Amino acid sequence: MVNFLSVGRNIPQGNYYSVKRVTLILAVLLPLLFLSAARGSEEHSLGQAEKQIFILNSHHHGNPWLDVEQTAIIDELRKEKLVSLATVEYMDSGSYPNGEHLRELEALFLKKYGGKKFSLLIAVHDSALDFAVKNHEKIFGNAPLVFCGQSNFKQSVLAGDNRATGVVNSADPAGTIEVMLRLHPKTREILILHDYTSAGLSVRQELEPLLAGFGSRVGFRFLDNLPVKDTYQILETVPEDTLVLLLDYTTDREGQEFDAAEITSAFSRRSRVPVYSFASSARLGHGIVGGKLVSVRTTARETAKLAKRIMQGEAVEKVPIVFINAAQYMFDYRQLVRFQIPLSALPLNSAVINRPVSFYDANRNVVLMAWTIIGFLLLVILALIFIIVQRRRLTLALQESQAKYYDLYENAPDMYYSIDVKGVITECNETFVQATGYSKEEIIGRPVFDFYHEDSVEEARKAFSQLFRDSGEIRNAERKVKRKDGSLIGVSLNVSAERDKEGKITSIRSIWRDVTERQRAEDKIRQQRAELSHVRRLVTIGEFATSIAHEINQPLTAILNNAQAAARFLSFDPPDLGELREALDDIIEDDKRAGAVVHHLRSFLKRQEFERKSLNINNIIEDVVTLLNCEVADKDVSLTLDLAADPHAVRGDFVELQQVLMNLILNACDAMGETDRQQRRLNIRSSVDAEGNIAVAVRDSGTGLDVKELIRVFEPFYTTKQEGLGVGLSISKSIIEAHEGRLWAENNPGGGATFYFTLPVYREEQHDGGN
Amino acid sequence: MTGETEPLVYVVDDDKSIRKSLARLIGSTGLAVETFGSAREFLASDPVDRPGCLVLDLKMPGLTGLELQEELAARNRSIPIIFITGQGSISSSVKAMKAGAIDFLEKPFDDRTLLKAIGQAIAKDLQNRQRNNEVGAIKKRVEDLTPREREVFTLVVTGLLNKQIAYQLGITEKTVKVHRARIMQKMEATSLAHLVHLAETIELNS
Repeated sequence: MVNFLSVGRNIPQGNYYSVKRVTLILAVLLPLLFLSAARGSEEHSLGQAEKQIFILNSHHHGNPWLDVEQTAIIDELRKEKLVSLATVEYMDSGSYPNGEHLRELEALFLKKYGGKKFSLLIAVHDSALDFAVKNHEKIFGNAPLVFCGQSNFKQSVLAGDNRATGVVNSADPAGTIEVMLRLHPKTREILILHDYTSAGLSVRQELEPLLAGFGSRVGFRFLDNLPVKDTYQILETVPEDTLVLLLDYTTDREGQEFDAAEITSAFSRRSRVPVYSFASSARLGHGIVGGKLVSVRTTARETAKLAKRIMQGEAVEKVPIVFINAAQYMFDYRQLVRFQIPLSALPLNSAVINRPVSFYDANRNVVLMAWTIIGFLLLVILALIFIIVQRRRLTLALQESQAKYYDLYENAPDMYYSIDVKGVITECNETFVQATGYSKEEIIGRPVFDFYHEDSVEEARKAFSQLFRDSGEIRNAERKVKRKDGSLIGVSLNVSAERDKEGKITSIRSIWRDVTERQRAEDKIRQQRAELSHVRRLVTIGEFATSIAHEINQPLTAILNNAQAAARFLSFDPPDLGELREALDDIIEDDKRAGAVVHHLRSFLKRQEFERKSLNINNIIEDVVTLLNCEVADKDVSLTLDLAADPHAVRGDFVELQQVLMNLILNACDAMGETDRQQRRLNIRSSVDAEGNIAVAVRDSGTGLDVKELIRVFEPFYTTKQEGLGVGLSISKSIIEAHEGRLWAENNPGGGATFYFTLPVYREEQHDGGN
Repeated sequence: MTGETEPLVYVVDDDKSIRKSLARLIGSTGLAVETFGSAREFLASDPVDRPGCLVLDLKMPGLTGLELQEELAARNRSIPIIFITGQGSISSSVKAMKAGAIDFLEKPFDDRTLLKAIGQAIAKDLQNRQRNNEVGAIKKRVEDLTPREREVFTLVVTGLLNKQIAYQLGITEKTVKVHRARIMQKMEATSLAHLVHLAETIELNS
């Protein structure tokens, strides 16, 4: 690769714009360096502060067009924390290219820096490198030297100085011409523009051999050495199928010198056709369309890297020179637009400067944030819509449900109403209206007690005031309600209080269920039971008449026997008075026995009225057993009693309970009809059960009952006997239930059955209760 | 005949006062009385070879009167029975009488009726015993007969001629005559008529 940008080490002043470029780098770099140094003094060690960098610039201060490269170098140096106290000197060799200026600088620098020690010396561009190599030991104390930006570096420049290294980059003119032809396929000629200084000619010399490679594809013409005005004119009038390739241009034929940036702009502005270049990318942005250019940014980065390695202690002798191919396709968007070159035509990986920045690119964060917020708001809106829809659906469901409950409330089979804490009705349903015969207006606002029958008013008032003291509930209380027409309804009352947060009752919801029919049915059942009981009583009397006759007949027979025997003893001669006396004694005994039977019979027959009294269950059992003694004995049943000592009194009717017991005992005897006579055992037991009730068990050793019979025996007219009516147990059951007790049957584990009944214990306060 | 000849009246009734009063009443006539509270008690007692009768309550726990009657018959223990009952049903009285009861008295009863029944019963028992003794003696004589003689005896008392008997048994008429004479002698019969009576007494052909 040939270094086309070489201006020769002998003509350091030739590369004018390079001078300006690096000057600019340092112009920006310097204040930043100082700033960073000042700022970094705190954060960096003293050791680092001692390290001084000397930057020697080939050019003059204030070159405004290389800020990219400068910024890049500063950035890199700062990144590597190499920004320390730096000394910068501008040689301004472009303006003063003669040897005298250099000698004066040598003298000046020797005087200024001869005694100082620098950690690193950076030489920017050709003149600086030449100067640094020449005065390396004399002025700079052989400090490690790093060079960069050499347009045409040759090892000989270093003159064997082994304490120097640097970055060397190469341009790509052929690549530039290729891309020119690719972007403008109709091009017939490329006009090559350069000055006729030694530097300009040197570049042309390097280029010329290359042009042959393009052969017949395009023609090349080097523009003559002309005054700049003529050059302008040529550029203004070139045919359209021409392109311009701009090489070094600093001086015209008349010796007028130009600022590289300004002359680039001037040529480009005047040219009818696109102007390309292949030198430093610093020229881009000043009117050229572009080309394969050397990136100042890459150069700067590499330079900083080398500087860092040395500052970190690597021996400069061992750091080799870095050769980089920094040429890259670069274009100016404005010029692309001017010459209508589409972006799509550019080679891949082309860098395009001045590309208009889209709003999105410019305000990327704001846009992203805006979109995020919009997205979030959309989500919120969606959520709100969802909630609203849900709410509406719920509202509809609620309305529907309310309508349904209103309907249920109004047309329920029960009378619903609410009363306030004073007992005044605040609302009622349609059923209430229908059932009572009053209109809604007559009902609402009136105390609920007005609707009760006299029999229930007191009870209702009492229960109402009780509500506020206890649970606030009434369950299945039976009341009588008076209709408007004066007739009565039996109601079952259920009440629950509504309370506020403090638990204070605010209103009371009540239900009246019409139980008139049920009460009527219950009355009927009670009546029928009484009738059945009467029938049973008659049946029982009939059944026992024979038995009672036998009971009386026995003592009568004995009396007669004894009396007749007595008569015989009296007729003896002499009369046997001892035997006579004994006979008479027995007569008296037997007579008493007969009298007792009659007495029992009388008391049995006497109690016809149904009454509830405090009764001792043991007395009832003993009484019945006395009555049935013969009957039981006749059947060869051995009867045992197992009575609770001192049981609590029960409340009930003596005769009815007697009947129940008789029934159970006789049934038990019947059940043992087929049992072996030795095994016929009957036990009657009274006790107090777990709930405190009095329990009586009649236990036989008969055949027992099958499972179905255990229930069925209590059904009316269910019988297993040929002679029975099948009403005994059903009557017994109804009697016991009327006594608020329970009657049931169980099979004994060892055979036979036991019939149990329970009766509640008599309590004083029940005394005046009853039906 | 062994044991006492004095009659003994048994009373079986579950009712103590009845039992006691009956014993007193029957005892007042000079008869010996023994009482039992139940049929089983009675059955459990050793049978006494003594004339007498049984005054038996029909309805009792355990074995009833009728059942005791059956049981006694089954044990071949013959004793005249007078049933007493509080509530005599027709069916039970018929049953009792058929089974040979002397009387069936409903409580309360007149002492004369009872004592008369007892008298009859004892007489009947005495008669039975007498008869039983006779039959026993005759049976003992029959047991002394040889098998051939017993065959001849059976045929003689049916009124067959010697010739017929000989033909039937396949022996000679003369042999029949010898047997007949031996039978008359052994049976202590004075005449053919007497022999027939003896045969009837022991119900030989029944």
